[in-house]
Amino acid sequence: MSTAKRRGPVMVEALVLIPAVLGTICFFIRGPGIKRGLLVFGAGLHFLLVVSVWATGNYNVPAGSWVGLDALGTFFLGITSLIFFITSLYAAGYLSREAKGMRKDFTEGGLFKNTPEQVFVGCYLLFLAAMTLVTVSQHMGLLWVAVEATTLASAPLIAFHRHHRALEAMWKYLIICSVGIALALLGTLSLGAATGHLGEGAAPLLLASLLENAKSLDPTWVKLSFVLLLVGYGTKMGLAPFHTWLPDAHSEGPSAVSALLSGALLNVAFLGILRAYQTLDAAGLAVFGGKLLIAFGLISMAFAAAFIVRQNNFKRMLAYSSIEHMGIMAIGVGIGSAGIFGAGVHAINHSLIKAMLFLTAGNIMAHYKTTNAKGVQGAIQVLPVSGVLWLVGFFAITGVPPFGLFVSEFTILKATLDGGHSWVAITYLFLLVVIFIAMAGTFFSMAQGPYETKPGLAPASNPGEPVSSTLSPILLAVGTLIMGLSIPSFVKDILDLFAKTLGGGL
Amino acid sequence: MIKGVETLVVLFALTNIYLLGTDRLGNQIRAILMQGFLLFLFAIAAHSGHITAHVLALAAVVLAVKGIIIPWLLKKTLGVTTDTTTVGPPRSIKDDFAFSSQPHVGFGTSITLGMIFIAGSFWVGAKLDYLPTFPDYAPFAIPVGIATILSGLLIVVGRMQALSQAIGYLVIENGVFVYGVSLSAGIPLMVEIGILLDVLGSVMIMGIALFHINQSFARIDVHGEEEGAGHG
Amino acid sequence: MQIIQIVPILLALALGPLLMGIINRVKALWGGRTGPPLIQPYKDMAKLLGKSAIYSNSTTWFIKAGPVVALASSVAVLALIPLGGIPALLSFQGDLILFAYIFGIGRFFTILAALDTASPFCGMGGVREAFYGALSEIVFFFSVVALAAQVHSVSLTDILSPANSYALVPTILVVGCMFVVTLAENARIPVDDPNTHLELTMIHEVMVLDHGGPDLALIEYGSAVKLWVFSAVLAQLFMPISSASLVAGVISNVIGIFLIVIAIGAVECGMARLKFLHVPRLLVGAAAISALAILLAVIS
Repeated sequence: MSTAKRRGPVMVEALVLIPAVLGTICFFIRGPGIKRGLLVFGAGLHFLLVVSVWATGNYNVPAGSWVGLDALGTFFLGITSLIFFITSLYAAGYLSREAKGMRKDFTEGGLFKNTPEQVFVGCYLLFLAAMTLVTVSQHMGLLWVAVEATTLASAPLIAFHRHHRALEAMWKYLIICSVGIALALLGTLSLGAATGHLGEGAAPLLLASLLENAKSLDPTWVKLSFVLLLVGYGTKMGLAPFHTWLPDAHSEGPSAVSALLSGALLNVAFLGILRAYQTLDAAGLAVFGGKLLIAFGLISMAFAAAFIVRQNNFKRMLAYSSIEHMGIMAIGVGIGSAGIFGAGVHAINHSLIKAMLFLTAGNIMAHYKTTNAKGVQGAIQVLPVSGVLWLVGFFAITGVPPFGLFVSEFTILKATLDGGHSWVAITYLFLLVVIFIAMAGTFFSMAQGPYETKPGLAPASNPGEPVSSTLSPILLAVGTLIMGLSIPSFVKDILDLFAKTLGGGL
Repeated sequence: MIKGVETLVVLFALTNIYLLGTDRLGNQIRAILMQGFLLFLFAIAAHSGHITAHVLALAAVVLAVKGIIIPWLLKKTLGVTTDTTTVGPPRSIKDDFAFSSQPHVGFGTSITLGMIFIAGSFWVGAKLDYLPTFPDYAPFAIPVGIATILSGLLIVVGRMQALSQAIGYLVIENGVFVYGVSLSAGIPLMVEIGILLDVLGSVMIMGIALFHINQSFARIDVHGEEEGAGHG
Repeated sequence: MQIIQIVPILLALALGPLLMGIINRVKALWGGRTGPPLIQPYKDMAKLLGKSAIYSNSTTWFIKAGPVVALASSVAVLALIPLGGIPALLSFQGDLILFAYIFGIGRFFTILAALDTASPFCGMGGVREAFYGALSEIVFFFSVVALAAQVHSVSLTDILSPANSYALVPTILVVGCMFVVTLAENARIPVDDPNTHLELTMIHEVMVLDHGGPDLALIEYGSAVKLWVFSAVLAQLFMPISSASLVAGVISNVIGIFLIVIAIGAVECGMARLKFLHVPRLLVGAAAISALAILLAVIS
């Protein structure tokens, strides 16, 4: 145990600094092979370190420290690191296949150029570093700084293809998320105001001290700050009606980046809300926060359902699906008790499945050269692995057993009914069914049907997919299958801690 | 009530009204510079009881970042020209633009709304239970901070010029700062500096984004780009 | 009601046109010229009174009534404003509303007279005048309310009484806004250019385009008195007026009026007229600032 304690702070610093330093170095490296190698190496090393932390199971934070790995943070860090690593394998292959120099935009026909690879790889690793910083923050102010840093690091990734739609998507992302995060800053400062009457305590925004003194905080200020933090970090998370940046950013960015955004960033933004919820819960105001979370969750699901119906762009459809699932997670935490456990399971599975779907969508898009679902047919024939994964992904994302989302959605539903919120449960089920039906049409029509050879597409007689583009989605699909069949014990332990920290539990 | 703080806060509100009413980007940048300078004075004046090294350091950073560097960056972005491989005279961001210069919300409406925001913020401020045991409590600052944030939101939502939206974001951050300084119990120096650096980073990235946007639009020959006009 | 309360009215009637002369002198001096003599406006009015007026067959009685009502409204308002510590001839709670609306009647009849000629230019001027008049009225009311709230009275005599003490910051804002109101109501730059020759760019001038002879004299005299009224009210906000000696108070107030008029002249030389689209912005901005002044006054 003593070695673990001594390793604690060093581990945290290593987790943040390694990707940060590697990312900065990548800006100056010329050779493409080295860059991609560093990308995979950096993400992989990070993942190994996180696995080792998870294995020790020591979630004690040194007293008075601004950074530390508690259960909540480690949980999200694990998901983030896994997604980043697996996506990095895909990204390395993607970068090698991208055309160099000026290229033709297949949607509008103009010419554009890609961002230099250095920027992509560098920002990727810096993004990972910023996300890690969010998960290890024990101080609300530091948390804020880190979340803003994630916005800055990920913006250049969205505009990897430098055409005007991607640039506009990046601009929307920057402005909307920055404005939202400014409101979150207002909330953070209000939280500081709530502690003001305690006198000049040592760093009252430290999470530990907030939780300790929670009962004596001024309830008006705490509620106000929670609302502001919910709106602010909710913008980053994709809760409706602040989600407007999400569909554009996901559809215009490269698929690897969309996988990172949906699979990692949205979760980490949720962590910001959860830290506020922790304080709220400790202050005994969890019911207030729960109602707000349920309300925003249902609104998000409704928005998502409305836009998935008749959605032709399959990447946008996946983006709206992310909004839906973020809504479900919010509902899960809002319901409390077993719902929180369900929300945790949901976080893991959604990240795995959504990342897999985006990477698969990227493969499909690369072959068919369109994002319009009507232009894609017969994917199973010409892209055997991706086509099958696409269908598998449909079942996985809509909560069909034996995949993981079924467990989480069912747990949340049961918690809702147990808690007596029947109207919430009815709306929740109704929206899930609507989304299932809407997505079924699109997914099946893309996967099946006759494949027509169009000029410019590879002929059906030569189906072949590079390993790098299929390995990652396959791994992710296997992961969610395992999570669905039976949650491994090392995951279940941390899920229990996750739920308990937020005042719930199975 | 400290007279100096009150005057500064009033001047700050005046810059807000000015920002809401002007559509010339150069004037907007000047107004932001003025706000940065006023914040610097405010950061010192609000602590007039006890000025420590912490306070002076924060004020210095505020002046450097909000008063000097950010307006300079904005001005540079304003004067950015497209690369001259395209035919025609070099254009800068204030001439053509990716996003049209017809605002969603007209200027007269903006100023009227700004007035309503100020009135509303004072009303809300009276409702919020201030705890006068704050050592650095500046009573007008909170309503003006809230009004500034709302004005900044109006600028972001109502304007279609991208640089105006960036300026609106800066106004929101300024408002949060005013709010924060008056509630400054317990916000450590490092966090405040981190916040300022983040804002600086945002502006840098926004500037780079605008440069690329401008370049990409120079290559496209489509006039009246409907996509650019549809900001939501 | 004392005999001394007639003095401000007599001063206004006598010295009103002098203000116009001062403005023209300031503008000339700024431009390096000597300029017309200060009493030139008197000479112009006398000359005009000696001429005869010509009325078009297509007009009705409005065109004759317009100048008369405009002058009558300006003179009537003189009874409502105090000067230098001398209370107004007629003061009661709410007289500031009467102040605004007597001018409103004058403006209404001027616009009617302009519309009576059926000339498109005059109609255009009338529309602009009505619009800007509405906005400047808001600014005026907000500014005065900011002061009234501190004194708890809505009578001009009480508000402008030299015995009051006002909070500094709201008063500065109110002075600024009232200056803008003065410029707007008296058709000065930046709202309207009195020297322009192009009808499309006129507001006030174009409404009186078809008046001649004695009518024009009445209009000019009415404008001069109106300028005096606004300057007098504004001067009492910032000039130190002692409540001890009435003579000193009046002299101080009149000096304040001259200072304001010189400032108007300086503004006329220093900037161009705003684009018509921007004038509402100026006025709404002034309204916002005066609203802020009300808030500050109430909270202080």
